[in-house]
Amino acid sequence: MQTISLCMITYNEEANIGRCLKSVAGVVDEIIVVDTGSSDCTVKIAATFGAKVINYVWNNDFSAARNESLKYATGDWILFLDADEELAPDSREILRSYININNEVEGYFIKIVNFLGNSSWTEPCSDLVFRLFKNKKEYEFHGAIHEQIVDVILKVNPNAKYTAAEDIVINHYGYLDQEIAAKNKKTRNLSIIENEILQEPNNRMLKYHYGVELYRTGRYEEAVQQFISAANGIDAQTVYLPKLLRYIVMSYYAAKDYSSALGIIETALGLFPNYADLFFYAGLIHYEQQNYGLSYDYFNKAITFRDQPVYYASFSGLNGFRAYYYLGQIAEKFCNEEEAMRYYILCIRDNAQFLPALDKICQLLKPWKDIEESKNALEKIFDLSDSYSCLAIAGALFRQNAYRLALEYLERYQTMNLLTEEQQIWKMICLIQQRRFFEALKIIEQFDQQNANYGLCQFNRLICFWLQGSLHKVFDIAGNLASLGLATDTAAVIGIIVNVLKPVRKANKFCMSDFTLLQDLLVRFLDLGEIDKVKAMTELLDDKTIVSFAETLGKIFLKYDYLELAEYYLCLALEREPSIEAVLELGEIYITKEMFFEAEYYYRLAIGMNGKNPQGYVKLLRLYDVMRFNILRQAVEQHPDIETFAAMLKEAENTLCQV
Amino acid sequence: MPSIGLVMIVKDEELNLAACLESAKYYVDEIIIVDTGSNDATKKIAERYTSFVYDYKWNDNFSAARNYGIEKTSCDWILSLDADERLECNCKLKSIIEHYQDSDAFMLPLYCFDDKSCQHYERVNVLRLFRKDKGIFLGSIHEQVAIQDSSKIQFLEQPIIYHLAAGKKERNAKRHRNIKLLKKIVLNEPENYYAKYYLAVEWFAFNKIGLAKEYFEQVLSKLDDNIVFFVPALKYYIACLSAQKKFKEALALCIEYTSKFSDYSDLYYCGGLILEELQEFEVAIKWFYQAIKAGTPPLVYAHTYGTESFLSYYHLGCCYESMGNCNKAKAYYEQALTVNPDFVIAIYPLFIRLLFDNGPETAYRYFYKNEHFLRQKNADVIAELFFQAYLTDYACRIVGIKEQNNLVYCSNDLKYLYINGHNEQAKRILRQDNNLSKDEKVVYQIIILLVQKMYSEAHKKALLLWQSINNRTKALAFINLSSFLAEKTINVCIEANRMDEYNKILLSILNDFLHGNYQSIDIRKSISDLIIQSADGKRIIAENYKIKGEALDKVLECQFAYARSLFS
Repeated sequence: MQTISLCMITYNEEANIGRCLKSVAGVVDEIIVVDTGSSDCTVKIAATFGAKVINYVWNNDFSAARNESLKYATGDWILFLDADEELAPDSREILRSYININNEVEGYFIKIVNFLGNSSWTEPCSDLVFRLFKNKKEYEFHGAIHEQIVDVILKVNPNAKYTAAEDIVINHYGYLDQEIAAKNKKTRNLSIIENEILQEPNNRMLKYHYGVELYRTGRYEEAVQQFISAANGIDAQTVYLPKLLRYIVMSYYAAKDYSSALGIIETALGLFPNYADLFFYAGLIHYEQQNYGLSYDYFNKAITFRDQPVYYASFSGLNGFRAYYYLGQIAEKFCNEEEAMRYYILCIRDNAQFLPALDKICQLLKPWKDIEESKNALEKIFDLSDSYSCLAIAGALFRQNAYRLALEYLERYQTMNLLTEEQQIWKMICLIQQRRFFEALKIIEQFDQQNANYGLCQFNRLICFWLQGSLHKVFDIAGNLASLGLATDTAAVIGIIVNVLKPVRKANKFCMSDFTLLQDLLVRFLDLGEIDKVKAMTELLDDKTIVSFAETLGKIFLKYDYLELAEYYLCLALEREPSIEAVLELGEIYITKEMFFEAEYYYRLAIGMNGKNPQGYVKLLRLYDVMRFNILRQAVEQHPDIETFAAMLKEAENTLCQV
Repeated sequence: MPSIGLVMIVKDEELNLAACLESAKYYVDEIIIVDTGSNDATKKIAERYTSFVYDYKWNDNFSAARNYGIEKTSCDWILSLDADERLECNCKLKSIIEHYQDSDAFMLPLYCFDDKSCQHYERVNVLRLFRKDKGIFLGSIHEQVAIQDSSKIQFLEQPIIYHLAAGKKERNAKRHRNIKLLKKIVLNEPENYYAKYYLAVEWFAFNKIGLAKEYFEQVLSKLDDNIVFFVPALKYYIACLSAQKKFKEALALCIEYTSKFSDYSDLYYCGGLILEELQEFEVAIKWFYQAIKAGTPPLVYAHTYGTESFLSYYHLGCCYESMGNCNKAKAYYEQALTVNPDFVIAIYPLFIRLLFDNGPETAYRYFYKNEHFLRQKNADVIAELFFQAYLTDYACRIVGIKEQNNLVYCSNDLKYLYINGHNEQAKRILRQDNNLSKDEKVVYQIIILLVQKMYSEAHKKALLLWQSINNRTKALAFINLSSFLAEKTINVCIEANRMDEYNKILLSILNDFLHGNYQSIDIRKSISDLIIQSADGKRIIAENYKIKGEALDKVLECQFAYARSLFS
C-alpha cells in the first residue's frame, strides 16, 4: 500500500483552504502546510484537518517555499495542491488506484479545470499540470513563479517515465475575477517574474509565463513579443506549444492586429489542424472585420472538432455554444431567422446558462406581440419542468418587454421557489402591464424607505395611479420622489409626467442625456396601448433630446407597429447621422406600407453605406422577388389571354416561396 | 565626323509622318523618303522636310524598297524608321557613334505601346542604326539588316524608338497583309526562322495558338544563339502553353530558364501568373517577389514594362486577396498605383477593398490624395465605380474636381449630375461639352428638364428631337414621359414595331435613376407606371426585376461565398 502526502503553501487562504482540505480528507495520508505568514485563520483551519503546519518566512520565491513543504513529507507520493484548488469528488478513488499501480512511473500529469469568469458567469477551462510525483529527495521545485518540477525530475533521472492521468481532476477557482481581484494576483506575479527573467533571459518557459501575465494586465503588444520570442525555435513537441500559439493569436487579436493574428493561426493550424480554438479566433477576427462569409466558414469549422486533446487546454464553448452564438448572429446578418434560431437553440442546448442566446431566441420570437406562438415555441425548445429554466426564460422575456409571458413563467417559478427582490420587482412591473394594480401595489408596499429599490418602486406606484387616473396621488408621489433627491434625468422624467398631467400654456421643454428610464416607460405605455400618453410625453422633449434619441424612438415605435411615428423618427435620425440599422428599418416600414420604390431606395442606400453588410443585398433581393410577383399578378389579371404571363407568375411565385 | 541619313519608306502616312520627322530631324544630316504609292498628302508633307523624296513602285518587298532608299543617301550611317515611330534621345546620335568607334551597327530599344494611353509597353531590340557600307536589308517583310560581322553590333539604352499603337481596324489590316507575305516566304524558304517567328507573332495575335506554338518551338531550337529572337520567342512559347492550359509544361520552362536568365524579371512574372492561375498563391507570391527583385532586365532581353514593378505588385495583391489577407492585398494594389498611377487595372480591386473595408469616404480621400482625379481615365473609372456602388454623390464630387481642373467630360458625368439633382452643373457642362452630338445634347436637356419638373419645356424639346429620324422612338418616349409625369396621361400610342426600343429606352432611364437621390423615387415610380401601361412593358419590368435579383444573387455569391447556405 503506497502512501500520499499532500503538500501546499498558503498565505491568507481562510476562504479557500477548508474546501481544499475537505476534498482530500481520507484520501491522503498526511497534510503538510507551509504557511508564509497568514494573518487570518488559515493556520487554525488547517490544524482542524490534522495538518502539519510549518511557519515560513516569505522570500519572494515560490519554489523555495514549496521545497520547504517537501522536506517534511513522509509519504511515497506527493500530491501538490494550492489552497484555491480542490480534488474533484470523483477523483478520490482514482487517485489512490493510480499510485498503487506498480509501473515505474515517476509522476503524473493530471487534469486541472480552471474556472474563469465572475459570479454570474463562470466557464471551465481545462489543462494538464504535473502535481503528482514520487517523493524523492532529488525532486525539487524550480523557478520563482509558475514553479516547475517536471524538468527537474528529468534532469535528475533522464529515464524517468511520466504520463498523463486525465481522469484525476483538480478544480481551480483562483482565476475567477473576484479571486484575482482579491489577491491582486496580476501585479504580484508580474513583478516577481520580471525579476526572474533578468536572471534567466533565455528561459522559454519564463517568457511564456511573463507573456501570460502581461496579457492579463492588458499589455498586449508586449505580451506578443514575449510569446513570439518563447515560440522561436521551439520544439514542436513542447506540451504547451498549442497554448502558446493561441496566446499569440489572442494577444494580436486584443491589440487589433488582425492580419498578424490570422498569419499565426494559419501557421498554427499547420501544426494542430484540429485545434478548435484557432478556428474560433479566425472566425472572431473575420467577424470583427465584417467578413461574414469567412467568419461563418471558420465558426462552422470550429464546431466540427468536438473532442480536443487536453493539452490544447481548449476554452470552453469555442467549439460549441460560443461558436453557435456567433453563427446565429451571422445568420441574422443574412436575414435568415430560421437558421439563426437553429443556432441559438444549439447554443443554449450546449450551455443552458448562456443567457445571451436565450435573449436572442426570445427576441426572434417577438413574444411581446406573438404571445401564443412564442409560448408554444418556448415549450418546445425548453424543458420547463425545471423551475430554473422558467426563471431564466422569464428574465429573457422581461428584457424583451413580453410582460404577459414573463409573468406567467415567473409565477410558475414561484410555485417552487421564493422570489428575490429583483424578481419581485419584475413581477410587480409585469402586473402593472396587465393592469393588475392591486397586486402590484401589494408588492410595492414591501419595499420600505430604507430599501435601495424604494425609489424605483415609488416610481412604479406613481405609474399605477396615473394609469388609474388618480391624479393627486400621482402629484403626491411625484413630490415625495422629488424630496428624495433624484438624478437629473429621473427628475426630468417626473417633470415630464407632471407637465403632461398639468398642462401649462407655455410648457418648458425637457432635455436629458440618459434616455433609459424614459425609454422604458414609453415602451411600457406602448405595450399598454397608451399611445396618447406616449405622444404627450415625447412632445415635452426639447429638439436636441429628440434628435439624439430619434433612432431609439423610431425603433420602439416600430416594435409596436406605429409605422408613421417610426418613419418620422427614423428619418429624423438619418438627418443627423447615417445609421445602417435605421436605413434598413425604414426599408421594412415601406415594405409594410407597400411603398416598394421607397423601400428599394433605402435598401440600396444600406448597400452603399456598407457593402460588407449582407442585409441590404438580401432584403433588396427579396423585395425584387415581391415586386416581380406583384407586377406579374397584375399582368395575369389584365391580360388573361397572354399565356406567358401565367408561366412567369408561377416561376415568380416559386421564387417567393423559397424564401 | 560621321554623317547620318534617315531612310524611310512610306505609304499613306499623312497622319503620322510629320510627327515622326519632327522627332528625328535634329539628329540626322539627310532625310530620304521613299514613297511606295501614297494616295494622300504624304509626299507633300515629306517635301516640307527634304528634297529627297522618291517614288518607288511597290513590289511586295520591303527590303528592296529600303535598299533603294539607302542607295540614295550620301551619308555613311543609316537610321531607319517607320512613320508610326518616334525617336527620342537626350544626346547627339553622332556622339554615340563616335563613342563606339569599333561598332558597325546598333540595336535600339523599341517600345511598343499596346494602347493609346501610352503606359503599357513591350521593350524589344531592333537594328536600326548601321554603317551604310556594312549592312544591307534582307527579307521582303520584317526585313533584317544583315551585318557582316555580328560581333560589331552594340546594344544601346538610347535613342529610344516609340512605336505608337494603331487602331484595331488598322492594326488588323496590317496583320492580314503581313500574314500573306510571311506565309509566302515561309513556303519558299522553310529555313527562314526569322519569318517563322514573325508569322507566329501574327498568329498569336489572332489567337491561333496551335500554329503559333509550333513555329515558336522551331525558333527556340534553331535560333538559340540569337538572344534577340530567342528570348521573346520563349515568352511567346510559354504564353502559348498557358493558353492551352499546359501549365505544368509552361512552369517547367520558367523554372529551366530562370536559372539561365536569372536577371530576367519577365520570366519570374510569367511563372507567377501560371501559379496564380493554378491557385497556388503562396508559391506564386514567391515568384512575383523574385520578379521584383530581379529589377529591370538587361537591354538584350525583350521586356514587358512593369514585370519588375507594378505588374508584379498588382498580382501580389490579387494573390494575397485570394488568400484572404485583405490588408496586404490593399498595400500591394496601392504600391502598383504608386509606381504607375496610370495602371488603371489596379484601381478596381483597390477601390472595392477600400470601399468595403474602410468605407466610401476613406476610399474617396485615398484617390483624391493621390491625385487620381487629376488623371482623365482614373477619374472616369473611379466615378463610375462609385456610381455602380450606389454612391452617386461621390461620382458627382469627382465631376466637380474634373471641372476645376479642366479635364474632359464624358457623358456618364452628366448622368451622375442629373440623377442626383445637380442640374445647374449638368447644364453648364452640357454647354461646354463638344464631344456630344446635337441630338445627344437634346436628350440630356430633356432629362434635366424632367428632373426639374419642367414638363412642358421637356415636351417641347422632345418634339424637337422628333425631327431627327434616328431618334424618333427616343422622342416618343420623352413625349410620353413628360406628359405622364405632368398629368398621368399618355400622349402617343406606340406602334408595335417601336415598342421594344421604346420600352428599352424608358427602362434604361429607370435603371439609371436607381442610383439617384431621394427625389429620383418619384421619377422612377412614374417611369415604371408608364412602362407597365402595356402588356409588353409589364413583361419587361418583371424581367428587369428578375435580372436585378440575379445580379444581387451574384454579388452575394461572390462576396459571401462561404456563407452560401445562409442565403441560397
